[in-house]
Amino acid sequence: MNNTSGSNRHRTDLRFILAATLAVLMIVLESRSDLLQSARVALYMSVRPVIEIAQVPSKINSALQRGFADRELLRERIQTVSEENRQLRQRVIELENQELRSKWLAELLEVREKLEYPVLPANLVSVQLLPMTQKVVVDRGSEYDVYVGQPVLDHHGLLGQVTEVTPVQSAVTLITDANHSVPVRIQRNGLLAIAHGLGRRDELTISGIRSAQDVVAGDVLITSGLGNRFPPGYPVAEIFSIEGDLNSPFVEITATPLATVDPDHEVLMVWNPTSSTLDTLSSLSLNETQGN
Amino acid sequence: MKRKGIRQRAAFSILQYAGAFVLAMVLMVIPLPTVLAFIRPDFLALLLIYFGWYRSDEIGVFSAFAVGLLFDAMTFGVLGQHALAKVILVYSATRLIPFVSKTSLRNQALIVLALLCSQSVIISLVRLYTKDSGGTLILWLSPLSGALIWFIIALIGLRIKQARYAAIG
Repeated sequence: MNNTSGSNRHRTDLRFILAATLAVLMIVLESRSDLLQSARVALYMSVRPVIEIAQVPSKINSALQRGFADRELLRERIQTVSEENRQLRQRVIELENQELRSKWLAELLEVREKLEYPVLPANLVSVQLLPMTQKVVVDRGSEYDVYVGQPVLDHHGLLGQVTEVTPVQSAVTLITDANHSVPVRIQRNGLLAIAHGLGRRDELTISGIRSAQDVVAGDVLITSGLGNRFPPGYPVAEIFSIEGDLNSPFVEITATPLATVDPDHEVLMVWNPTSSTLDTLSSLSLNETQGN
Repeated sequence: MKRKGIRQRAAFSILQYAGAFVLAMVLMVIPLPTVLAFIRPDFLALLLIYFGWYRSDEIGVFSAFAVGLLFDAMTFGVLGQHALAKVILVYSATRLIPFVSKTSLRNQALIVLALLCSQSVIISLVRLYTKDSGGTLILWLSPLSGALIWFIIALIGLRIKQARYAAIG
């Protein structure tokens, strides 16, 4: 009896050592190479139905919300949209004037901005906004030549970048992820800075701006294009607070990201012409890009 | 005839375990408001502890490894971090069986808290090594909620056991 229980225990110990060693080996391989990428893709595809099931309640919720929207609500929405449209038109006129005024400044900074890049619309499959880790999954993968590092936008601004690619889906790490940083500049005066994620959905911290420099709440931050990861000129965030410390030459700036995570809205995956992966774009037909 | 019955029972048992793990995984990734996401218990770990204590002959370290690996892939985390944490968790849980069977539900919850905290330590160390983003607060809040929810899990387990005995007669 004792022998049997002893050998069982011995077997459990051996199994534990084997499984733990395998796990440690995987962690080391993961941190040093891409050898496990295909295994990761296969594992992800096998648990995809579970992710789909987990998204069912939020999908039902949005469907119900859409279903219950009565005419009054729709009328109110039309009024709001019309008002927004009027304000935006006014803003376009203002911006056109500002553009003329700031042209000389842009030339001075030698910033070459191209705002027309090839884009691919995509839908959000799942949203994993865990505290600190902010990721979403989109329904476009390597089948559409999506690549790691590809910038992703929504209609308000920069959302994040692709960090994992499977054939049919990709994971996008948001700019609000605690591990994410974006080189930015202030749209008004071209001051360069870095926007860091804090792991919170509605907050970024801005570093690299000295207390003596010209920055005010309400300033819009756009991508600077430095590092060639993100194309220059895309809106990123709006500064909402600036706090100075007498002992520090730098100011503490926090900003609100302009992009929003809404499962009902499409996002745009951008091919950055300054990135080396542009060559892969040649295989993507224009019809596919615009039609989807 | 007898062998067929045993095979059917085994297949049913595998389905039950798979169902339980799928349910736990769904609960782990179901979108929640930020506040609730912070205190979401690690349902997979709780399930593994339960099986480690009460079904250790069927669910062991390899099952824990597989479940942890799938969870890593599902959350796009470092492959192997949850696998390692879950393997150590189940192994520690099985080593505690002689003590757990004699202790009260309250003490069990305290042991669960210790096990979940040790899991958080392992994941933190792996993230430190791989320079992966933290999730620091969630790592330390979820063991607390996990220990609290253990009472419910233990009671459900007890009910299932009673129902099974009643069915056998």
